[in-house]
Amino acid sequence: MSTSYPEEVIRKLVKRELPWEDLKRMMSEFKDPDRFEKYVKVWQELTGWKEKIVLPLTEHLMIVNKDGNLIIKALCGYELGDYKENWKLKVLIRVRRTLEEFKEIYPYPLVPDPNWCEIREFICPGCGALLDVDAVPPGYPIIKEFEPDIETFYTKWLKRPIPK
Amino acid sequence: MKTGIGYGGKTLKEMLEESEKLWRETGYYYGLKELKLRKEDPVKFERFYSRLLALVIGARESVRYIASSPGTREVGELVFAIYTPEGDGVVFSTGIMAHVNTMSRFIKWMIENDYESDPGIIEGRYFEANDWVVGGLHPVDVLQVTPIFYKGQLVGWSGGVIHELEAGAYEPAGCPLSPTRFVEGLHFMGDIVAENDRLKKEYVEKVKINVRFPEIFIMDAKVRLAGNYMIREGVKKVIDEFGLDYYMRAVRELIEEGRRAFLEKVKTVLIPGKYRTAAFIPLNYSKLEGLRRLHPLAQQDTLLHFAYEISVNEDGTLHYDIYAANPQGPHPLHATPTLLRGGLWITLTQILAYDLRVSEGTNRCVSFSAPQGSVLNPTDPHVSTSNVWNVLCTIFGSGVRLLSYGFYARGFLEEVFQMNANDMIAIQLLTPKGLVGGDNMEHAGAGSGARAVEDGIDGGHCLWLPDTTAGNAERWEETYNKLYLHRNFLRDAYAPGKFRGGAARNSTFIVWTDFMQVVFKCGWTPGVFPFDKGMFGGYPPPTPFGYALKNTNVKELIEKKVPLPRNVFEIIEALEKGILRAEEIYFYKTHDVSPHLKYYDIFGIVHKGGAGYGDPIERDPKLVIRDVERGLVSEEYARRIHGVVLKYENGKWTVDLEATAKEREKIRKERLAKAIPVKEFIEKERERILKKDLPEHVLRCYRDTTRISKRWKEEFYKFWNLPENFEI
Repeated sequence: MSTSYPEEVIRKLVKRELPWEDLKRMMSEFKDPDRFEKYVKVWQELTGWKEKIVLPLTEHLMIVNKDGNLIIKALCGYELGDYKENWKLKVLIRVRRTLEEFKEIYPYPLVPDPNWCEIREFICPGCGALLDVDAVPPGYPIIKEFEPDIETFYTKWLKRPIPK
Repeated sequence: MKTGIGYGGKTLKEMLEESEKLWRETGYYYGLKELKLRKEDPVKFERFYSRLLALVIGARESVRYIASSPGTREVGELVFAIYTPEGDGVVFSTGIMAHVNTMSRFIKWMIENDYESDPGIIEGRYFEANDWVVGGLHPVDVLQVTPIFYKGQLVGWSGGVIHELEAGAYEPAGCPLSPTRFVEGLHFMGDIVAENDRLKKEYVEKVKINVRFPEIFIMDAKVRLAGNYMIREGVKKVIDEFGLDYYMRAVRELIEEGRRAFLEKVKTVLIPGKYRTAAFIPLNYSKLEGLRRLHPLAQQDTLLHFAYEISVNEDGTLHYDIYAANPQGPHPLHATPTLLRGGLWITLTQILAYDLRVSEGTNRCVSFSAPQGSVLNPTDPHVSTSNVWNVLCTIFGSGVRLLSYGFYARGFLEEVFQMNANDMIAIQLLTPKGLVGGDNMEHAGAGSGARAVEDGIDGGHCLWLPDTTAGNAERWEETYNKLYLHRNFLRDAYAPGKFRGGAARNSTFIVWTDFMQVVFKCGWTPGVFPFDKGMFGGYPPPTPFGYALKNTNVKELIEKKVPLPRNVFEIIEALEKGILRAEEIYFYKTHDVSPHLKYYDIFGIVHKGGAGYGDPIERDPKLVIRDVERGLVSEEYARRIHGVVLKYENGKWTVDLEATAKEREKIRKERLAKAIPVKEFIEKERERILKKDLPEHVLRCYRDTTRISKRWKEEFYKFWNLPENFEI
């Protein structure tokens, strides 16, 4: 069973302008196989970038093809280098590790215990956007959470070359 | 020549071996390269499937009302399914989808242990299991299966599972803090519990004195039996209509079709590659006096740690490699690869396979690995799995977030989801009949994490439970002799984000009996540690807690008509002002047991919502206004966390857009000023690690994990650039 949406609908979805009724229907429908093409096209238009978007990664980060190299680029334009490396190691960080710092986010006593956990905020050096928040015990390494297999995705699943 | 009881005169062992051989050799379920029946007459095939589906759903929806347990009747903690003779799941009702694989494992265990010869598998005989060694999850999830015979041949099995409120452990209810299996309560390991479609007397008598709610347990056993009976007789009618050969081939085609459809779904909505995270459960038991009586090492602080990687493979299969986990230990947080599938399927059926036919076919698309001897692959048969849900919620809750990275990258924003875990309470009462008690499933109505397109659900999400409702307050009051003082949402108590997590939910109760004891447990996973993290700048959820106030002046306040507190913040305020008084005040952020409570004492629990999504200062101000109007956010919090400046004019809240833009810019600048480059952070932290300047329980966690996982050790040492001779 195949579903497909006009590009305008996907644009509204990306911009979070889709009315709830349409969103609900979309949730309940079979998934549309051509979503990715329209999704990337919409992002390409919204960013106005000359580099081709290869894969949207997070709310603020995209994998783009820049001069034949796949790099991570933030929506503000800040570049984070090779997509195979952990982008989190190239941004800014604020670590909350005291009760007072936790209480800025959560009302007491719904706060974590600093003896068990710290909250790491990863911030975009280009614009100050909050890119991700980790909750880990002190001393825990920073994990590279998502490592897309872009080659397989494009050539085997989509059966087309990686955008240049 | 001796013939077996199975279809075609084969023994069940022969059938199982044949099925496994065909799978190994061909890669298709039962070697079915062609879906012949489906191809020849798809309408008939669909009709056949609908008949089976109607049987299991019809059974569940009819028999749950036999139950007296609110958990069964109202929360819907039960599931029914039909299996092939070899124990492969064909079709499942709605309900606790954790059991896609558990009953299958139970049936296979009986086949492998030659139940066919001894004690014998005959029509009208029902077998039960709740022991992890046999495929059960934890003692309160009781599995019951019965064979389906057609003209003398075993053609399948019917199975049903119910989550009991109680299984007779040393602590009341479902997830006791049991350091070993010896204090988990009743165990069933393939026991014959009914003959000729009637519960056996010795089973009923055994249950009568070994659990705290015998009436509820026995009624639940009748629910299982009645459901299985309905399904068994229904299947016979289906075979009458479609023919035995059609039935036997069609159930296998359904499984193979389910397998193929799952692979296609993965390829449609995900991205191939590696998805990684680490999940944590603090076991802060060092202050729990008495635990050492149960096990010499049980009373200590331990941080459970799971580092894992999901591989989404080119062919659409998924592999979960949980490569780091603590060694097995004296606590109830163990699982096995079969039990891990419980957590997997309760999540995948709802976020990935909700439009598929979930069966053994989908099950075969996913594989697992976990270190042998770890809490996820124990070698000690005496370890406890009582609190296995804590493990499953923690691992697979974060697993849903990981798959959501794929949904987002693929453009399916409406599929992105973040889950929550359970924060449970159990209650024990002393009555003229002795101790009674069990779970109070208030947590079933907790809030969810945020999605990529909307806020988390405030109340009425609990992916781990079927009907996502806390049940009627009146029914719980009747069960546990307590009165609801309130069920309410808390203000400023959610995980911030562009889309926020569900609001924290709070219930407080007045004790209405002479003897009550409350156990605060389970999802305390994170009483001191947040459950999971958040997505793309959304924060982790707040942490839950419980409380009890003993010898209060609540009776006097009611008599004087002084308004009673409506949430825990008001309770704290009333205590501070001296309006509410209590001789003893208890505050719980771990698994713990209250003292003896009595009339007019009060106790309560805060259930957290799930995690946030996206940068909180990108939140649509309209959503902030909505929350202010609902009492879920204060003006001050809206400004500090979301950078939204509100105005209250003419009885209405509005947004000062200009001030909001300035406030948000200010927050961005503050962030940049307070942050340091990650590389700098790593250098500083490295020094700390070299000095072992970390809490002892964290150091022990790292030490234990490096011993059991070579890969994690290498990652840890490489990340912090530690010398080879360094010992954590």
